[in-house]
Parts: sequence; C-alpha cells; structure tokens
Amino acid sequence: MIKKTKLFPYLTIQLWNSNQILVSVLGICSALAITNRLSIAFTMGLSVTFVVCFSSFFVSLLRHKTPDSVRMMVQLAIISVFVTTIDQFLQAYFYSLSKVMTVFVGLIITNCIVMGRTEGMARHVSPSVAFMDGLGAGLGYMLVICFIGAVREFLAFGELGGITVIPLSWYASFEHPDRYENFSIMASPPAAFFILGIMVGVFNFINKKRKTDVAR
Amino acid sequence: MSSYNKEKTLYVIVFMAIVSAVCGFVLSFLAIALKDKKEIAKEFDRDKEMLIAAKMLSHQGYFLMRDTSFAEYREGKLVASSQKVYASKEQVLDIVKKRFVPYLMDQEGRLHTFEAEKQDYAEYIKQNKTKGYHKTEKKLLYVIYAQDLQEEEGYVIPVKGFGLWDALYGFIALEKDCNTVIGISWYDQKETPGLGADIAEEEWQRQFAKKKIFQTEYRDEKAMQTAPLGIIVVKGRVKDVFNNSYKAESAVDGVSGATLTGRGVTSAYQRVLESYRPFFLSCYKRQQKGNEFS
Repeated sequence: MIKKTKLFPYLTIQLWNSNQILVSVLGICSALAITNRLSIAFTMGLSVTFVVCFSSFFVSLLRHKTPDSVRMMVQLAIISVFVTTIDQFLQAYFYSLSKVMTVFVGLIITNCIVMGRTEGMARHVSPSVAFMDGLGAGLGYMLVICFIGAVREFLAFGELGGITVIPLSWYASFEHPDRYENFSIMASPPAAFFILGIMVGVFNFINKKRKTDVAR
Repeated sequence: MSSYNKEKTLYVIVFMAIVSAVCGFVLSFLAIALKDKKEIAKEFDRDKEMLIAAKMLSHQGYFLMRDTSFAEYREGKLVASSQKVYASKEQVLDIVKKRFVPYLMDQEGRLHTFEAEKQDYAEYIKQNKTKGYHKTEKKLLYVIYAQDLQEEEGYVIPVKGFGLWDALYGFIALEKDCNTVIGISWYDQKETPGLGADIAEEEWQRQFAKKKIFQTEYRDEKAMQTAPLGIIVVKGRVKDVFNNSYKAESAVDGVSGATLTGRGVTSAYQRVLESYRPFFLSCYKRQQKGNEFS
C-alpha cells in the first residue's frame, strides 16, 4: 500500500515554523541589501521563489541519476540556469527594475536558501514534495523581506510602492522646522539589520508563548 | 543485475557533459529569444536617461519642469502640475522625438541634420556606441527645443568614458550658453554597486546642476579657445580642495571609496567635451552677437 503524502504541509511549514530567514537565518544578505523599497523586495522575493521552486524540482528529478561526487556542481548548474533566466527576463521586460537591482539578481545563485533547499531537501525527496518545499521556502523569504521593505520604505521615504503615504503637509519645512522628517537611516543596510534582528526576537517570543500555551 | 555504477568516472564525465550541454542550450535559446526585447528596453532606457539629464524626468519616472517642479503630459506638451504624474512609455518617446533633435557637428562647429548628411540615425547610434559618438568624423549632438519647437533651450552631449571596470555611457545637458550644466545621467555603467555605481544615483548627479564646463575665471574669446573643459570629480569635497576659487564652479564631490570611477568620469567629460569645443565656440560667438544688438 502506497501512502499518499500530503503535500500542502511542506509549503505551510516553511512560511512560519521553519521560515528560512527567521529560523534558519539563511539568505539575509539580500534581505539587507535589496529591501530598500517594497517593489524591489517584492520582485526579489518572486525571483528567489521562482529559482528555489524549479531548482528543487529539477534537482529532485535527477536525484537518482546524479553521482554523489558532482551533486553540488549539478545543483549549481541548474540553479544558474534559472537565475540567468529570471535575470534575462527582468532585463527584457522590467529594465528599470533590473537596473536598480543590478547584480543582486545574479547573486541569487549564491543565496544560501536556494542551495540549502536543493542540498538539504530536494535530493532526498520526490519532485512534487521538493517543489512545494521550495515554494514554501521562497514565499517565506518573500514575506519577510516584503515586510522589511515596507517598513524601510515607509520610514525612509514616507512611501509604499512609490505612492506617497505620509501626506506632504506633515513634513518639516522652512516655516515649520519641527514637523515630521524621514528616517533617512532606514535607507541604508544597517537599518535592515536592526529590523531583522527585532523580527527574529519577536518571532521567537511569539513561538515561545505558543509553546507555553500549548504545554498548559 | 545491479545497474551501472554511478560513481564510475566515465559515467560522471558523461553525466556532467550532458547536464552542461542542456543548460547551455536552454540559456542560448533564451538569449536569442529575448535579444530583441532587451535591445528595445535598453534603447528606451537611453531615451529616459536623456530626459533625466535635461531635468525633464525624475529618476523615479515622473515628469518635471526644468525648475524641478512636477509636470504632466497634456496634448504633447509638458504643463506644470502640483503632484507626481508618472510618465508612460509613449509619452516619453513622444517628448524625446519632438524636443530632442539629433544633429551632426562638423569640424567648424556647424550643425547638420542627419538627412543632409545622408546618414541613418538608428544605424549611426548602433555602429558608434562602443567607439563613442565624439570620435566620429561628424559628432552627434542633440538640440533641446522649447515647447514651441522653434527656440533652442539647450543641448545634450552624449558622453563616453571608462570607469573602473568597464565603459561609461551617459549624457550631459547644457544650457543655451553652452557652459552651464543642466544635469547629467549615465545610461550604461558597470561600476561597483554601492561605490562607483553611485554616479548613477540621483543624489550624486544633483551636484552637477549649474556647474560650468569651462574652467576659467573670465569668459572671453581666448578662454573659450584654450581654457580646460569638463567637470572635475575631486577626491573628497570640493570645498576642501578648491575652496572658493573659480575651479569650484567646475567641480563636484567624489564618491567615497570610488576614486578611480571618479577619475574615469572626469576624464570622460574632459575628452568628450573637448571634441565639441568648435560648437561651444560658435555658441559663444552667437551669444556675443546677440548681446550686441540687445
């Protein structure tokens, strides 16, 4: 009797309990560099999700045929194909966005999440499981960096998705020097570092509380 | 009984060869399929950067009036607006086509249209991009026309140089006096992100407004003919290097950690603008004549 594995939990567990950034602390390099604005963070999240899903899927497809000695090279080759695909796609259809993201799309190849999933999970499980796992990992990553991106864009520019959210009349000007001013430090990477740290702290706090609630 | 040994050398080699071949094939196919789309995207970006240099478009993509207040596109013209209005692709292309007219400058500084010279603009652009438009026999120059399409408002000069890693391609927009800078932009650069690549950032480019390309204290004919041309990117701050001397009017602060890129930019402006000196001279002469009768 073949037991049918439920696929959906593989996705959902990656969104919170095993979130790649908040729990495994992987892929934070791009979380710091590319979360200046929400649109960029969102595009990056989608790109990474695309790469992780399909890389995991194909690595899993080849898992019985791949020699152990070259498995990482094969994973890298497959990952590179998908990263280059998304890079070319962005250059062709979203050129201004690709100009802002410059090298960071190419650097998805080095993103620990992608290799982590292919090496840690994809080569041991069936393709559909690998795909769901990759999808979950990517979406979990995307949720975290979109949140950071939203916070940074809101505080550093007073905008969300390029649309001004904080009314211009609230800002300090020559006549009212004591009014609101943007937190320009939020536009630089160290700010993302702090936000990330706070997020991990809050995440652990919530989880701890959950565990004690369940224990009771 | 048991299948082939995965770890046998021959198998490994063949396997890797097949994987590499498949990956290569997929990527080549993709490159060919997307080639035209990428070209179009790059060309459109170049047009946008030209508008950005002329301070008619912001880096975020909304129209501006030259005094940096917001503008919107209405019936082919730019009118002042109280809020940001993002530009559509057609609007940008229309403005560029109508108001930024390409000409070829000869050795005496006279301008000729592409039709008069029997050259195709698109061909010229493609052929001479890597060479540099200032190195061709007749050099490319854009005239910015005012809304009425009759009066000349300024000029855009395509700039080519070499940064730290690779070539730099950009624009410098000048006022009618051929001396004051309206703005600059870079449409192709491969400098280090966060360091040299800051030259493409709005904040750094903002310094160029109102700078003078002629490094001279007095503006007379002799200066026009011999004074050094270009904008100097200093190492550090202009006010520390040049204090209040006239050179400060032709210099901008460098990017910290990107000295070599800055040097590339300086030499790019110096070399390119030198090629256009005959035009600046004729510009100056026209201005003087105009002043005589006013």
